[in-house]
Amino acid sequence: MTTANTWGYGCALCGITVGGFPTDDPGEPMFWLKEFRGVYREGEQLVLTGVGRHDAGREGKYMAPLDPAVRWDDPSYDHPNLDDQFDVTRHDPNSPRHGTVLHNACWLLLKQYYAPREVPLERLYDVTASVPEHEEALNWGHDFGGLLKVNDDRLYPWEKFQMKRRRGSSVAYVNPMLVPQINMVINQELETPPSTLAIAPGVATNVLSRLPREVLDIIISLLPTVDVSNCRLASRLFCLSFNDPSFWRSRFYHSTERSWIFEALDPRRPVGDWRSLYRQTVTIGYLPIELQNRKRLWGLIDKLVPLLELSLFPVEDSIRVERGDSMILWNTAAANIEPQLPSQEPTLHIKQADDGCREFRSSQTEIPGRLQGFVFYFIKLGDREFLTGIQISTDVRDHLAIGYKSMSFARHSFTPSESSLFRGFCVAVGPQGIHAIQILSAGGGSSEWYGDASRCPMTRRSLCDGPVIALSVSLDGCKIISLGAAEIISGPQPAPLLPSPHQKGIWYPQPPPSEVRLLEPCLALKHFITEYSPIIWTHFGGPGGAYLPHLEKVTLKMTTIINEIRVGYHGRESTVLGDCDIGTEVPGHDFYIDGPAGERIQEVTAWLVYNTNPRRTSVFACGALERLEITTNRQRSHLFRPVHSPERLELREHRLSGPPGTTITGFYANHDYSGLTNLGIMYERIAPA
Amino acid sequence: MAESKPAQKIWIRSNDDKTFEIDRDVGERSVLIKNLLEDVGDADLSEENAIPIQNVNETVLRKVIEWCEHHRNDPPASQDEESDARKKTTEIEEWDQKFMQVDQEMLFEIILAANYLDIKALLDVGCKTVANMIKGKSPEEIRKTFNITNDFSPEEEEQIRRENEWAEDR
Repeated sequence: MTTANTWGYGCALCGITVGGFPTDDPGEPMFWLKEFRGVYREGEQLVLTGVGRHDAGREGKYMAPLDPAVRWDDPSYDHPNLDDQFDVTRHDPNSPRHGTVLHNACWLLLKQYYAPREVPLERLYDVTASVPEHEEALNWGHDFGGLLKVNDDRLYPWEKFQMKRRRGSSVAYVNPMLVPQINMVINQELETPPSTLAIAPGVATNVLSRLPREVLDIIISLLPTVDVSNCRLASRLFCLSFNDPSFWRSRFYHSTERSWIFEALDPRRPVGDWRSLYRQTVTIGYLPIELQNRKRLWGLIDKLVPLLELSLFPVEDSIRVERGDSMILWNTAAANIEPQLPSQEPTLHIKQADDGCREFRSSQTEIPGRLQGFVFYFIKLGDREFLTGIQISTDVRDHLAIGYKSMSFARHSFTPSESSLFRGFCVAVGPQGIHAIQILSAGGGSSEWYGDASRCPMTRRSLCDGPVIALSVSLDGCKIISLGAAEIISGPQPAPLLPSPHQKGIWYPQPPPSEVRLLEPCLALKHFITEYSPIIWTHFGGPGGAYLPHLEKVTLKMTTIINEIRVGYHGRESTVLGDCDIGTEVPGHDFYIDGPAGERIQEVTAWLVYNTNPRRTSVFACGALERLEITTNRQRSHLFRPVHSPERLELREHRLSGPPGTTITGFYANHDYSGLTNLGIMYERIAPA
Repeated sequence: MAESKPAQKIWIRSNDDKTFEIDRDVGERSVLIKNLLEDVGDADLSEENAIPIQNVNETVLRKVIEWCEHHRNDPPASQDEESDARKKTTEIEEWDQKFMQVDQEMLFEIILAANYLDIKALLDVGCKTVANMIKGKSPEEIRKTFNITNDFSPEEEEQIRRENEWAEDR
């Protein structure tokens, strides 16, 4: 979110660029945007810097005093000091000092939120180092309190968000810690409420009426005002609260709806009338603009704090790998974990610097005795939930746990059946972590989903053939990024079987029907079953080939590569592969098929383009579907190819057809923001009509 | 863990005459019991001379003791109003959530017992549980949850609505 003509990185909290504003006058209202603190690690040492000043300079480099008590303009400090330089982007993995930056005002606000406790710096570092980057700022998945417009048109959920800065957000550029009119806000003249009559307490006889007044007051103080309003409409017991100053004061306590006006609890500024102050603040637009920005930032801190409050479960001893002539086999589902070292070979999924996640630590636990239940812990990043930790209860151990304990969401599952039936998990996994989890048992049984599995690819990579004896997780600074389930393989090791793509693929929106066979796609199957490369699919043949007699046409949409394959029918809605709304401006190209007369797709030939130019590394490095020829059982064929082919790229041909006697009934593929990047076919033996 | 001397025992008696032998530090989670123990003196502690807990029956007292045993090593509750005011959230620890999965009658009995015995942390958990039962519900749903009869006159209801609107965020 750079907003100025010189380089700067977004503040970890507010998102606005730190530095880069063309002013040298500390009296300028926007000067606060140049003053910052860094939180970075150098070796084992974690550093909170003093207050630095950032003007313009080298990309990603910031300089601030090492001593948190020192400011850049202190006479004893020599500003700017190159010895105090650190990095904030992740472009240079070998940087000895790397961390994040916050405006000093944002840091002070965070400190205020935590007071009298200290801001958990280690956690702040871990969390900010885990959040992906986007356009020189951290991408928390939220819109920075209305500052950004999320534009995810044309994208599948695991693809990068495009975020656009919203116009007219001038609120974000005023100093949230400097509110000149604060005394006026706090001591504004009383505004009389509409009440004229006192509501009689009456003689209630419900269960709540057994509670003494002071206990009811505690309950009320814990509730947001909107809930108290509903209580007042529900029972006379709660009506007194409207005229009770202590109730209105409780609205300003920590972690309540008005805690962002923290000056109200400052004994040096006695509040005349708490109800009146509350009333002054119901219309945010009438408040000083600095308070409006503070409220925005307080909301962002509310989102950040649950991440900072995560606590790591103690790490158990390592699991023994060898057990006599048996060995342990781990079945692991992972998010898009960035490799520790830059890979020399391009991988199927084009890794972006601001995509995916990084491993910080790992842990594992055995499952002794009979399994009794799980607790799954989740945290929210933006609008998505992420699995942070798993706690297991067995009949011999109660609190075996791995990952992070979250106070945000805990979901309980009880497994009364035999632990030997527990075979692992199906997980809904995005590039940054696991969004939902389902327990699988022998015989194909599955639990409900824990977490939010919507808009997310799924995989059964964490499924074992035998009973699960241990679990392992990899973690970044705030969530589980891979989940492994271990089983024992006894006796001599069998020759490795080709893994089932149904089980080992990451499928969107869910794995295809098990009766459908999958032919190896253009790009090697190993990519599908080992990497984070979600597969989209369409089973256009329908259950048991029921849709085939209705086949009408195949329509392709193409730009420089193929974006979408649509299969149309007589009298029913079409099915689509690559349905990402590329816009009506892209014309479709049709190939008609006479489905009612028995015409079927028999063979598909796909051409993938590869960028072999070492200087153009990312585009089509792993291949993209450029042309497609469809041949039917009537020996009719049609070649789809874009009008403008990419030049000087290598083109490779792949012929795809099922064994004799089978019919092609579906397509599956990878996809990135440019279009389809791989293609495979599904086939079945369909009984003649 | 290092060897430690056996915990000192105390005896408390419910209002339906059931005597419980508990460790002193478990009992001292209750400020009421702690104060009574200081008044009684160690010499007078015996099963026969159990401390009477007048407002709490056996079933509820057993449940309260279970909570105190689980939380026996928690730091003592702060008496500082400011720090208390900083904990106005309705998050409840997982064990306490499970502990509070009881019927409504028992939940309110536990709250009353915690209030009487002056066990602040247990009272907080109880109040948070009730608060969470209220959160996000409409007036009608709140009435249904706690079996409340609507006895407002139309004029009273209208007045409350006007007051509520006055304090509504916009």
